[in-house]
Amino acid sequence: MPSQQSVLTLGDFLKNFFEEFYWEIILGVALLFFGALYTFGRKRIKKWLFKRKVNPTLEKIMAVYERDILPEFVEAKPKIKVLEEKEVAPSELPFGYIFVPMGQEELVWDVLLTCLPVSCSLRRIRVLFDEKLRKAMFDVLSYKLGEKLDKGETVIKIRDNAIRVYPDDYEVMEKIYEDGKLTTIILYEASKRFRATGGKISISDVREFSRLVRKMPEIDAGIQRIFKSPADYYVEEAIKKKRGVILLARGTYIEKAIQVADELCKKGFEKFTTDELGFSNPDTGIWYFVHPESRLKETPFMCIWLKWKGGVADEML
Amino acid sequence: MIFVSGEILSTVDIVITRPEQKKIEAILHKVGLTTEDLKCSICKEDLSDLKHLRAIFPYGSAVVCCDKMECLIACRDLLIKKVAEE
Repeated sequence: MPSQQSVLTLGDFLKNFFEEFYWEIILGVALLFFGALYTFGRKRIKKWLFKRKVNPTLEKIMAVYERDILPEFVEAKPKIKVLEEKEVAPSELPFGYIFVPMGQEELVWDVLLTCLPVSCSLRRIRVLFDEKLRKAMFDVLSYKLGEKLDKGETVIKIRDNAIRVYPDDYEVMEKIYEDGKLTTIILYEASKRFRATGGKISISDVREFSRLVRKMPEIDAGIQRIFKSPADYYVEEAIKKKRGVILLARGTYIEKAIQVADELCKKGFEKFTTDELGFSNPDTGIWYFVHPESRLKETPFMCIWLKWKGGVADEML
Repeated sequence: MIFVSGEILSTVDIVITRPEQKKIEAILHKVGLTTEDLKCSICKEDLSDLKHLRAIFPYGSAVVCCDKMECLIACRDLLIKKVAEE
């Protein structure tokens, strides 16, 4: 009996309680509901805002980089991932993590303009350039990217620094870029050399390639490696292109390179003078190999720089 | 600078994220750092509160960068220079 009485008492109590605080309870439940909705919704909005604010910047930068800065060299396009709140960072280490605080999404511009060219696959072939040229190349790319995106005030500091510290090399790179030779000649050539050496670049590779890059703005010439094809083939190829040619030969192919150069000199080409180049022509030396390991460690090399005069070759064409 | 044995990425070049404590701790763990010893590689500013942390480049050795533009440029130069460590 006492227990039945206490149940009734509890029931009465609850009934009285709900009657007494009916609106307060309704209000409390409603507040909890809207509170939860706000908390959940706010997170969703934050996430949505992060991607919404960062993605257009990314798309804009990437489009300009790919279309205007390094066309014909799409392998250099960096891969970027925007990580949402609950997403875990990739297990592999990326080149870089960029942190963008809430409400400061504009800051992503500075980091991307500064580091985007450095972060992409160009970093693999950059080992062919000596340090100043390497810096100058990335300076030019960052500056041009910023200029195209109307962010000159950000990247001007990069150019100012380059002009102060290594003005000659910056000028070389800028001229190469403006002449359209960066992708068509320099990076193309660097990729080929990088593949040929398996990424193991020797000091000879760096020295010769950097010399080539520094000379490139001054001359109109393509590179022709002398290998197994007959000499006539190289002569015809050079004449067809109607521009200067740099014959590069190593070891046993040196004799063939001399033969090709002699033939070309009879057909509208002439050798650059030492004064024009700043070094002897033909340029000779010892090439040290790092890759492949089983191969010869060193061999003589010769580089013959020829300029196009036209004339006889024009008649042949 | 701390040497990182892990090789450079193959799938992603840059990861952009919010500076959230847990995420940064996980990233720092990968590069052998903790939030307590987090300093700008250039100006040595203490970045342990994560407010001024702008970027971490675990490229060869970890390069940590604060939010100053001059430090960002210097970090970039450091990254360009770093070839031998790769």
